[in-house]
Amino acid sequence: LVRYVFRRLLGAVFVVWVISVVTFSLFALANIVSGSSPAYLYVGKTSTPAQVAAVEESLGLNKPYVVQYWEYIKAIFVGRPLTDGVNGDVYCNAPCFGYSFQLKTSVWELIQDRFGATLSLAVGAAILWLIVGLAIGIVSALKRGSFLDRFGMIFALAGVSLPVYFTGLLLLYAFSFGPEAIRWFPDTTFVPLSQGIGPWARALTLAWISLAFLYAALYARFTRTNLLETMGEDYIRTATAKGLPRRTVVGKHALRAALTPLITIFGLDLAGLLGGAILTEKTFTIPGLGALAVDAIGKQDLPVIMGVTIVGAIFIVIANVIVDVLYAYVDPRVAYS
Amino acid sequence: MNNRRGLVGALALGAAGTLLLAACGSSSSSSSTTTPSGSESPAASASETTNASPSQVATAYDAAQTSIVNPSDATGGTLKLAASADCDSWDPQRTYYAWCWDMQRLTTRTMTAFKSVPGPEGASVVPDLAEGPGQPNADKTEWTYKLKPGIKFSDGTAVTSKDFKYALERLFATDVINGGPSSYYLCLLATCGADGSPDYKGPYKDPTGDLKSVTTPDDNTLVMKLVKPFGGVDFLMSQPITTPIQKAKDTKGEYGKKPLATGPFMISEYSAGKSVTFVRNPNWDQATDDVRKPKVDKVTLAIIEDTAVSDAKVLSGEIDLQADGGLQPEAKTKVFTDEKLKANADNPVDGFIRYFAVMQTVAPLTNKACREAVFLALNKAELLQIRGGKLGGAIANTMTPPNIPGHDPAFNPYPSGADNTGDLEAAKAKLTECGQPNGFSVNMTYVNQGLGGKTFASVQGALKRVGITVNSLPGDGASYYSSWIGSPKNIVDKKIGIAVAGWGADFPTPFGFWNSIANGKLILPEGNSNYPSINDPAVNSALDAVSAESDATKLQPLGATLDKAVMETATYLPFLFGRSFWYRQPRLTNVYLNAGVGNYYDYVQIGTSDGK
Repeated sequence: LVRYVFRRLLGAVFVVWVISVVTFSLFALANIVSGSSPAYLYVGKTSTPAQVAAVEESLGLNKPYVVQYWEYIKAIFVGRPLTDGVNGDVYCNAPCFGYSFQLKTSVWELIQDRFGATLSLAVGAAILWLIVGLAIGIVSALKRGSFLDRFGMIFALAGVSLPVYFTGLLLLYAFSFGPEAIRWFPDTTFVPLSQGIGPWARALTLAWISLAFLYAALYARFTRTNLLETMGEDYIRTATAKGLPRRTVVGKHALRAALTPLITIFGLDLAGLLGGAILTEKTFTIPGLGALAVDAIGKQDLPVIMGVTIVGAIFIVIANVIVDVLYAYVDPRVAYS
Repeated sequence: MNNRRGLVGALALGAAGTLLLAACGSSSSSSSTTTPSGSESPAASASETTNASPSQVATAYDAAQTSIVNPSDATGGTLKLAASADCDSWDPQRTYYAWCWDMQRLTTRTMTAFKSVPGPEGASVVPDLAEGPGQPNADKTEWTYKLKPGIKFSDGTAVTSKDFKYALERLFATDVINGGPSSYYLCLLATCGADGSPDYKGPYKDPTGDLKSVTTPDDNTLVMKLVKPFGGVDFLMSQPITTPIQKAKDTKGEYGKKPLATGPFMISEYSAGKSVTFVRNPNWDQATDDVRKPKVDKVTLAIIEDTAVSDAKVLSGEIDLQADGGLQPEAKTKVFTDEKLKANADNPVDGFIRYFAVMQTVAPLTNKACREAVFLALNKAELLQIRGGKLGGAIANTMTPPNIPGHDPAFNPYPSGADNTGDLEAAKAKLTECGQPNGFSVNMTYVNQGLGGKTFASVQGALKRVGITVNSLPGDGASYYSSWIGSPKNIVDKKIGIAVAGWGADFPTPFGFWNSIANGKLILPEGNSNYPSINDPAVNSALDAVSAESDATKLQPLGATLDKAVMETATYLPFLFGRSFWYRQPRLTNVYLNAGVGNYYDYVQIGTSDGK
C-alpha cells in the first residue's frame, strides 16, 4: 500500500509540475503576443518607460522566462522578496505564488482569504446533493416505473438541463429580491462561519440549493442506473432467494456495490469545486476562488490566474490520489498494483 | 481619471488620468462652467461662503443634484455600500478611480478639499488641513501652506508638515508607489530628463536623499518650489495622493492594506477584492474639520461583481448605494417608470466625454480633410440612442465637458446636420478635398464588450453612406487603453484609424482635463493617453497658458482657446457627454451629489434615518 501511495503521489507531483509549466507558458505567451510588458498592468498607464522598467526590475519581469519560472517555482517553497525588491524588507513567505497586479496583494494571501467561501459553498452543496441525489436515485430504482420514479427523473432532467446561473437567478429573484411574502433570504451577502452558523447558512442556502440541484440530478441518474444494474445481478437474486429481508438485500449488498463508483465521481467533483465554483460564486456574489479567477482573467491579472489554476490543479490531483487509494480499499477487487 | 462602469467597464481599467469632476447638473447648463477653476479665487470665495446653507429637500427625482436630500442631524447606523470591483488601491497615493477618491474622503484629509455642497459649487476647493488656501509667489513657482494645529493620525501621532513632505517624496518611488496621478507632481517638483524620469528617486532608493524643492521651515509650514509656474496647486493639494504619510509607519507596497487615517473613518478590516469595513477614527476631531460632517458609525463596502445582482440588492434595500456607478439599463428603466422609485433617483451628467480618436498617423487620415469627412458623416443621434437616450447623456459637439472652464455650448466646428444624423453633403465635399471622392477604407477599434460592438456598427453604417468602409478591429478590455490604443506604434502597425475612447478631468480646470490627452510632450510609447499623438504648437502653447493661470475669470477664455485649438486638429471627435443614473435608499439622510468628487454621492456626509 505504501509503495502504491508513493507511486501515485509521485505521479501527482509530475502532473502538477506539467500544469505549472503550461500555465507559466501561457503567462509568457500572453506577454509575447501582446508585445507589452506585464509591468503596465501593475504600474498603471500614466507611467513613463523608466518607471515601467523600474517595476520590471523589482518584480523580476525583465529576466529570461526560464529564470522567471525557476524563481516562481522556488518561491513556492522558500518565498521571495516582494513588491519592493529594492530593500527586500517586504517578503512573500512560502508558499509564494506571486503578487497580484490588480489587488496589490500576495496571491497566496488572496487564495487563503477566498478559500473559506469556496469551501463553505462546496461542502454545503455536496452534503445537500448527496442526500437528495442518492435518495431520489434509490427511490427511483426501487420504485421503477412508478410516479415517484417519473418525478425523480423529471427532476434529474431539469437539473442537468438548467444552468446554475439560471436556477440561481431564479432563486435570487424569488426569495431574495422578490415579493415581501417570500423574501426569506433578504441578505445573501457571504459571511464566514466564524460569524455564526445561522447567518452563514442563511447567506449560503440559495447558493447551496442552486449548485446542489445540478449535482443532485446527476447523482440521482447515476445512482438509479447503477442500482438497477446491481439489482439484476445473480448474487442479489441469491440473497433474495435465501430469504434475506429486502432492507438487507438493498442496503447491505446492492447499495455497496452500486455506490462504490460514486466515490471516484464525488471526490473529483468536490475537488473541482474547491478550485472554484465559478458560475455559482459569480451568480451569488460569493467571494471564492472561482470569482477571484474570473475577475483576474478579466483584468489580465496573470499571477492570480496562475496561482488559482495551480492550486485548483493540486486539489484535483490530490483528490485523485485519495480516491484511488480509497477505491482500492472499499473494493477489494481493485489491487494496489 | 477612471470611473467604474460608465465606459463599458473597460474604461474603468484603462482610462487612467480621469477623476471625473462633473460640476453641472445638466449639459445644457452653461452657467456651471464658470464656477470651478483656478486655485486662489475659488478657494478664497469658497471660504467666504462655507457657512451658506445649501437648499434642503425631502426627496424628489434629481433632487440630490442641487439640494441636500433628507437633511438630518441624526447619528449612528451603518452605511452599506457596494461596488462592482475593488479600488485599484487603498493606499491614498496609488488610487486613480474616481469613486475611490470619493471613498478616500472617509479616511484621508488633505491641505485643501472639495467643498461639501451640492451643485456646481462643490467643484471648488476650500482649506481642509490647511488654515487657508495656498499662498503663491508672484509667478506661481512657490506655494506655501500653513497646517492647522491639533491634527492627528489615527494612531494618535500628531501630523506635521514633514509628513506632507514625506508623502510628496514617496511619490518618486515609482517602482513601488505607482498607479496614482503622480505624473502631475514629479516633473513639477523635480527636474526631469528627456525620458520623463525625475532626478530624485524617492526615499526607498535614495534614503539619505532629499526632495529639495519641498521644505518645512517649521512643523506647520510646507513650502513647495516648482520647476515651472503652475496655477492649479490648490487642486493638486486636494487630491488624496497628497495626504500626509508618516514615514515610520510607511509599509511601502503594503501600505494600502491598512493605511493610517486622518479623516473621520479608518479601515478596520480589508479583504482585497471582497470587502472593506470603515469605523470611526477616534483621533479625528470635528472641531478641526469644516469639510466633513459624518453621521454614521460605520461604513461597509461589499464587492459585488454582477451588476444585475447589485442593482437588485440596492432596489430591495439590502445595500444603500452603489459606490462606483449607477444602475444598469434594465434597473434604470424600472426605476424611471415607477414614480415612487423615481423619487429616489438622480440622473446627473457624469463629466465624461465619449469620443472617437481619429488618428492622424494612419493613411489616408493623415490628410485633415479626410478626418473631417469622418467627423461630418457621423450619426450622433444614433450613438445617443445606443447610450440610453437622454438618460444616458447628451450629444457633444466639442470636447470640453460642461463642468470645465472653456466649454462653449454654441461651439460646433463639425456640425452633423440639423437632426445630428450626419451632414453627408459636407462630408462628401471633404472627401473630394482630400483626394478620396469615392471614400476609403479604415480600421476602427473598440472594447470587445459592453456597447463596443453597437458603437462600431453605428459608425460603420454612418460612414458607409459617404463611401467610407469601416473595418472591425476590436481590442481586449484589459489592455485596450494601455497597450492597444495606448501604444502609438500599435496604432500604426495595426492601421487603427478610429478608436472609441472616453475621458474625464482629473480636476476641474482646462489643464486637468487636457494635459494627459493633448500635451505633445506626453506622447508615451505605451500607456499613452494622447491617442492621436497630436503635438500641435498652438495646442501646446494654449496648454502652457492654462497651466500657469489660476484666475477663474481668465481660465474660461483660455480654456475656450485651448478647446478650439484641439478641435482645429480634427483628431478628437466628441459625440456624447455622459450621464449616470443613481438610486439612493430612502432611509439615507444628507444625500447629495458632489461635483468635486465626480458627481458621486458625498459618502462621508451621509447618515441614516433609522440609526441602523
